[in-house]
Amino acid sequence: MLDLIWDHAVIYDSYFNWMGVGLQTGKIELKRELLRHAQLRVVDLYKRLGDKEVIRGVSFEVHPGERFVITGPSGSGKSTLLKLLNRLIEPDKGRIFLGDIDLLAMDVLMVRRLLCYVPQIPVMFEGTVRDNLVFAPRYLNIPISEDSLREAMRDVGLDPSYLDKVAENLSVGEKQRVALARALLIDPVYLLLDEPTAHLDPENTRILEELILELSREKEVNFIIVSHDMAQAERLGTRIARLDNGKLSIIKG
Amino acid sequence: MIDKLLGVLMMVFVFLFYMKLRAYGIERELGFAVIRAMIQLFAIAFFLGIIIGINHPLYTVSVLGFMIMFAAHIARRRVIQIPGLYRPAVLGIFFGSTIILTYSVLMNIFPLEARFIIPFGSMVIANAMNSTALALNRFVGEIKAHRYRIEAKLALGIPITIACKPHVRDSVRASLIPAISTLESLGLVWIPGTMSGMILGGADPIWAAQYQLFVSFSILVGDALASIISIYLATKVIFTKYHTFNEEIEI
Repeated sequence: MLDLIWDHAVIYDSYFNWMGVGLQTGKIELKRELLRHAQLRVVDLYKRLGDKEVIRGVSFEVHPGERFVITGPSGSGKSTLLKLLNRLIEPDKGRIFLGDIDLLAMDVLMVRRLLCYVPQIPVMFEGTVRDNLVFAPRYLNIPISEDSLREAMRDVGLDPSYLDKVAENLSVGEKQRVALARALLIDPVYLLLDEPTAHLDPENTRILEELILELSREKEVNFIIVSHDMAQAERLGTRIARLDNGKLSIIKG
Repeated sequence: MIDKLLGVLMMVFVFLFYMKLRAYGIERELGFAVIRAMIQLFAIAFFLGIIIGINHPLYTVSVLGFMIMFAAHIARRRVIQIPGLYRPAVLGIFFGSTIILTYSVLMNIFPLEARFIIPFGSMVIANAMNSTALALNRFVGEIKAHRYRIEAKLALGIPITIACKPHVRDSVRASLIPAISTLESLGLVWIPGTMSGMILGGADPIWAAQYQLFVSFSILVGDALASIISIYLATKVIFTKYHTFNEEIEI
């Protein structure tokens, strides 16, 4: 009964928030293949959090096929920058383009499907690994078959038998890979990884780095990765930028 | 009567003195609550006497309106962590109780006469206040505890309403526990206010039981509506229309 009331609230909400999106979704689906080869262009981005100007006039471009790594000391605004791209935080000033689409003028939920953000701490949703993987596709109406689930698991180097394990019981390394598979299943144009190895031991770090390289080469996934570790940036990045005090400078490529 | 009241008041003060001796640390609060309750109740009794005497719908409705405002104020104060929850609380309690009261008036069960609708309204509003406070408290706690999980869902393009659904469900469920346990113990452990009042006044117990059931069910529905409406509106405060956490609110 209460669920029913809530579901109606959800429908009411989606009706108003998504009215224009149906059209937009169709357009995006058509454009998706084109978007896969679209560059991401960030122009003069500003963000103030509290009384601190965290991002101060950041501009850069990322081209498809690249692994763009952003380094910098902790507190330099790296995570904030990634969240701005995913629009988990709204910028104060500036523009973000994917190809010729103005992402700040677009429906925010659509933006997040195109530029998917994987948080630093891998948080699992309720239930099994399968529940985790189908959660977003089910809501977003992306058809998911059992085979595609198994393939997604293999893509991130996990055995498909893991699908029925309770997600909360996995190790941190495994959780990180489930989080990656979860994001890959909604087929984003750019995958934004926030310190993907921050909570991993050296062995799991190596595995995840190899995984990122493999996904980038074989599945043509475009990555934007934040890392405080310069050596890791060298290993992963085709281009490297450094964020210092809210200002970004390209240091390689 | 007043001398008997003094007797029980003496007992309360003995109890307070004992707690003071043992340094329980809540005797001050309790003392204030006791004194406040006395003043409030006498004041309202005096006031009700006047309102019932006048018995004009406008006055009756404004008394209920004041009750709702104070109820929202108290409910909001119990959820101290974040500001901006007054509106969700007041609207939740307002809609939760108004729907029930309107039904009661339309069906002529408790007509729009001060001596019927004010006591009935106070029961519905007070319970809606409790459930709203419980619901909002639990909801804020849930959001705090599961902030990263919600953020991870949002990051995949899931809207707020879906990302929050398990937490909404838990909060509403928690807010209804008192109402449900009251229903369970109904008659077995305690004979609730309306029924005992009517029996004390000489009414037929069967007749009294029917009224009591109407009151109990009304309270349950009012509670559920108030919780779910206030939580729904609270999501609008805690989150923005861009499906992000509201940066101005510290969670």
